[in-house]
Amino acid sequence: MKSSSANPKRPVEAPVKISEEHFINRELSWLAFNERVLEEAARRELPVLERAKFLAITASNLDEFFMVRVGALQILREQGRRVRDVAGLTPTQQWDQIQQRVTEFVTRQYQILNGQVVPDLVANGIRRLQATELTPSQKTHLEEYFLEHLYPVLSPTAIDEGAKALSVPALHLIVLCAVQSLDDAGHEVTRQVFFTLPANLHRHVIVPGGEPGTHTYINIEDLLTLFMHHFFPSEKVVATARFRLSRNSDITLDDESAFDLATEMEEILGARLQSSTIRIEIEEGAPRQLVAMIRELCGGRAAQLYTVPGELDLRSQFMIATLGGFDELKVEPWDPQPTSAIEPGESIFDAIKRGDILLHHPYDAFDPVIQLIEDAATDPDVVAIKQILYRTAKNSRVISGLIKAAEAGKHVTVLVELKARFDEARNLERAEELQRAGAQIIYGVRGLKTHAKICMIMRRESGHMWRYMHFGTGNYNESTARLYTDISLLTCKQEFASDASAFFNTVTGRSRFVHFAKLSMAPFGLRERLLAMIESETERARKGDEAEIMLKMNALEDAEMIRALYEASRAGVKVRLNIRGICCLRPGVSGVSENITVVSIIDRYLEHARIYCFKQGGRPVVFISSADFMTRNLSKRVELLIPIEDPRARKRLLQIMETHFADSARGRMLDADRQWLALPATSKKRRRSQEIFAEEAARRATHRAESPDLLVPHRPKAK
Amino acid sequence: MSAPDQPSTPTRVAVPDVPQEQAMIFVGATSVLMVIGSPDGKGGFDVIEHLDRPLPIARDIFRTGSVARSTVEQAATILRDYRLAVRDYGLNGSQVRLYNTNILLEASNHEIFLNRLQVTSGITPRLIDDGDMTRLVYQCARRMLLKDAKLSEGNVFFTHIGPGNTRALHFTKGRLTGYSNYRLGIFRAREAVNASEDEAPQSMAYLEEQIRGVVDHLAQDYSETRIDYHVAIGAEIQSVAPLLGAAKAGTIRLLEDDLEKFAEKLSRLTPDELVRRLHVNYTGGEGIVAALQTNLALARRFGDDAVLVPDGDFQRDLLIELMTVSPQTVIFQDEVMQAAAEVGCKYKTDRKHADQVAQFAQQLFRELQHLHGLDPKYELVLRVAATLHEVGMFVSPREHHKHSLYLLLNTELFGLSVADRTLVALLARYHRRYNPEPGHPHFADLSREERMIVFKLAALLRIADALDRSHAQRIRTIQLRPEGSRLFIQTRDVDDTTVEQIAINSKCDLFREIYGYEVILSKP
Repeated sequence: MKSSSANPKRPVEAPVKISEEHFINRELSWLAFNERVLEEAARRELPVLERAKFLAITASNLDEFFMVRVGALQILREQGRRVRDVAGLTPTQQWDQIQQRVTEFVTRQYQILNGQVVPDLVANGIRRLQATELTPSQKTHLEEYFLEHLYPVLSPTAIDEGAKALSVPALHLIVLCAVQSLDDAGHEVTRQVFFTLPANLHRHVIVPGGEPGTHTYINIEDLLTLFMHHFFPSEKVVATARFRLSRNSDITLDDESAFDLATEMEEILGARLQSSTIRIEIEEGAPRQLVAMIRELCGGRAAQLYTVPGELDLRSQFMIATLGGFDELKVEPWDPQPTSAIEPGESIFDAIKRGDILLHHPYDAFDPVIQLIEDAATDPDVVAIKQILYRTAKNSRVISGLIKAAEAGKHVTVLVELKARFDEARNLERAEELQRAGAQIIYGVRGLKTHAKICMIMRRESGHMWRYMHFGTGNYNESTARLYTDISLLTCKQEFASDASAFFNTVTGRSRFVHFAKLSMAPFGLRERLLAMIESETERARKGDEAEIMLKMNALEDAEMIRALYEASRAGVKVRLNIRGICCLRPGVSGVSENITVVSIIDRYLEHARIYCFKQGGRPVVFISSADFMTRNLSKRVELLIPIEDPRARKRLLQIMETHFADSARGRMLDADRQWLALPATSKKRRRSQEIFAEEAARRATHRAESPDLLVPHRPKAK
Repeated sequence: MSAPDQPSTPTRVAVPDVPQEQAMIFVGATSVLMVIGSPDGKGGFDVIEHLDRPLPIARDIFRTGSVARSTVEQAATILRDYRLAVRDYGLNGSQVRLYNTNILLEASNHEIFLNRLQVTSGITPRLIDDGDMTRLVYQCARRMLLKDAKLSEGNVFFTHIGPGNTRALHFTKGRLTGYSNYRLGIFRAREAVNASEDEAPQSMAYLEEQIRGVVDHLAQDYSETRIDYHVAIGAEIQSVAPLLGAAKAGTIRLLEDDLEKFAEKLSRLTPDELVRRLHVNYTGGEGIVAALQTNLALARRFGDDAVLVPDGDFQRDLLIELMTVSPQTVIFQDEVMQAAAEVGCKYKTDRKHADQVAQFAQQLFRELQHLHGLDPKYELVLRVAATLHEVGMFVSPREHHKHSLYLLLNTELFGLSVADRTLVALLARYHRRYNPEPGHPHFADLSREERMIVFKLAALLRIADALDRSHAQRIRTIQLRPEGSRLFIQTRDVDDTTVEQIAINSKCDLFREIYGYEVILSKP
């Protein structure tokens, strides 16, 4: 670690007592994270489709936040619980602050959409048409489309008079309409009918007749409104409203999301059969009576109501962001590069044997990890493969490799974690396929989610058993490996191998947890190891030595870890944190955390790596891990902490950290008032960490390719 | 980048990929361990797999006198799981061994238990008996002495508190000078106390009562012995030592005060807390307080401020020790012979004769290897038998071979297992007069293979004894020369070998029967 010119301050006065005010509420901190993502959508210098993507991400994030976190809060409120969070807020206080903050957020979201992104899209030929803008021929075409594709699948549901509740699915677009007819006596009668737009219908319907190279479309809800009269041949549609509900139902959790539940909430949820509405979004312009009706019938008195100035569900912007063509509106791709540690055509086993291989994805391609498993499947000397699977890609090459290996008679043991949200069905299906191929399958361990990323290959070479390991911070998912930044370590060091074996013996129930030589495993000592490392720096600082901690993670939430970092700061340890999302620690508070800085990077790739560095008097100890500093990770998950011993790998990780901390382009710094501010530039040139890593990777690859007898083929652009 | 430290393999040679690993399963007092070791190229093994599953054997045995049915089933499940782990390595039957703690012998149903293990695992279970255990504790002590010059120069007192027995070894300048074994074990003491079901402070007091008698006895045995360092060996003390001090040169120094406070603290913890705090298993956690108390009682009795504890996992090291091909080092054999000589001294045997016979026996064993084809470990058994064959004279010269038999059956012989000691006793029994017969007590209990060993070794012992018939060491060196159906034993030491030849003629019918050679004493 570099020693910095700004020396950490050492305490003079009696220490301040750590109290609630020194913590940040995690919900509000998460909202701040989503606000930072939103600001990327407002970044004028970014191509417009990239900005559309960020808009979609914020919308998707917010949906999940409501379902899980706000949903749980609501349950606590309903039960009248007044448990305060670490920052001292009751559920109701949190609820109120969230509503206020989200209202501002949505306003900003639509300012960006309507004021910046849409005009830029239109200027570049991507245009959403309103019904009023259609030409007669376009209208005819769309009517045909409607009758062929929509009419048969949409079913109008009448709302009975005196109905108490509407049964509509959450997160779907609902169109409610009032239709009028005359009764036998000639009086006007109004009834209400609603349509649920199925999620499998395309939200955008292409409108023909646009210029070449342009994309003109109409939203499906507009199309429905336009031709709704087909459903009511003898009635008249007099008013429509579009809305969308969020419920706290089906809360199962995804570890990649920042959300989890407190134990007491998990219990409540388990016992709950009925879910309730927590958010209603209504598109602006709906008549007041319909709005009242929606509130009434959707159980929304307790819910948060948002009137949205524009189209609902901005997740649809993903479709815009990934439109074919329009390359000039997209970011220049940074292609994953082959690592120089493996010679082309070389056996991966030989390469690992030569020395540990550290990969920084997605700058370094994920291929070696896949190669390890695929080669193992066909290598005659490989006898066994052990693997933890958490979230896998569609048509996962990892699983295909494992199936192949099992079919080839290798002893394949796979722990498939079924508690990983969304991927459950997919995981289950392929797990059965694996089992049929002869693999030994374990569906997680009781009471704990298995989140560790590890794969071990056992290979017999000249009578000796060699074990090759991959340790990672990210999932075995070749798709997300192109979008998330993660670290991989490939090694065959014996002590790591013994620990890896012991780890598998533990999770497969073959052995109780036995002491590890190098690794640490949660919940059996990983937290304690990290605490011991922090305390060791604190001790050094107390003795007057220079002490420093650099941590990179997705979320910092665990109170015990935060307190340990406060202690470190007070002792004079320089603490630099690189945190993507939630940060419940308040930096820069005099007498508490004045030596702590928190930097967050939001950029093209999702920052996902966990890297923990401790200066240790100039002989830095560096770890990678699957665990964040969150209570769930440290106490309720099976996680791994892996020390990086290879000096070059360690140096590289330290450099990665320094580069992140110097990111004046995409870095934001948290101040003592909980505000995220642009990171001041340390040099004249703006430094953007992700770009630097991409350039470095490209340079390394070019360097290799520049060998005079090595030709560089032009490849089609990666999708 | 640094070179990986797995075994270095040269580029592929046309050697068949036969697994080199060994698996060792140990059904211990509180758990079933499995270690898979890979040859380290220096004659030892590196641990590459280490599995551990709790099993309450000691608790069952010392509480009820037998292993509970549920425990038997649990053991079978564990072995099935361990077989899966072994399968990954493709090891064959001879590469997987299954050992059991010797406290199992105290279970009324130990045969049933062992049979069940054998049926489940397909491996013949063996018992680590007292003798094996002594050797393993001795090796642990040796390792410490080798690592620390201070210890190897001084007088070191080692105590090992096992689940059922306590051993004491004394070394002066690196050589064994005293050995004894006591019926005091962690679980023996603990279960006696447990029956009273009292609160922590009381049960601590009961425990001390339990321990006191044996500790006093032990202290009495070593009251005249000089002790510079006291080393405590054992699974429990070694598992907690790293929590109380840092290792230097493979040794952790524990202050008695610290140990006392720690033991007291632990005695107040629930089993759950013990598991979480110490990462021991439930059944292991049960013994930990008793183990620390026993160690403390010893330390207090000897007035130590501090005890030394070896760094490392006792049971794991034990399994690795069992794995090594040649378990008896030359030094260990010397120690065994030295201890045997001391036993001989106790029974006032003719030391010079004993040594001479032992020397001949060794020579005969080695040079006639092609005839008897026995495992080299029986050489030591034969030498001990040669050293002690006349102990029965202590009781009476008449029928002294029979007195030798029962004395040796009931005398602790350092470094020998019960089975080996029985062999030694039977060899002494048959060093003269009658040949073994199937109806003879003790001999009758042996398997066919074991009886054959008695025949083969007794035949050698008889020649060795006959060669010093005079007890005057007239013959000191011999050469063996087989010729046709005769074995010529040649010596230049004396011209007239009539006395010895008569002895041979009268005693060596056994040799002729077994090996088919007539023994002729001659000059070269």
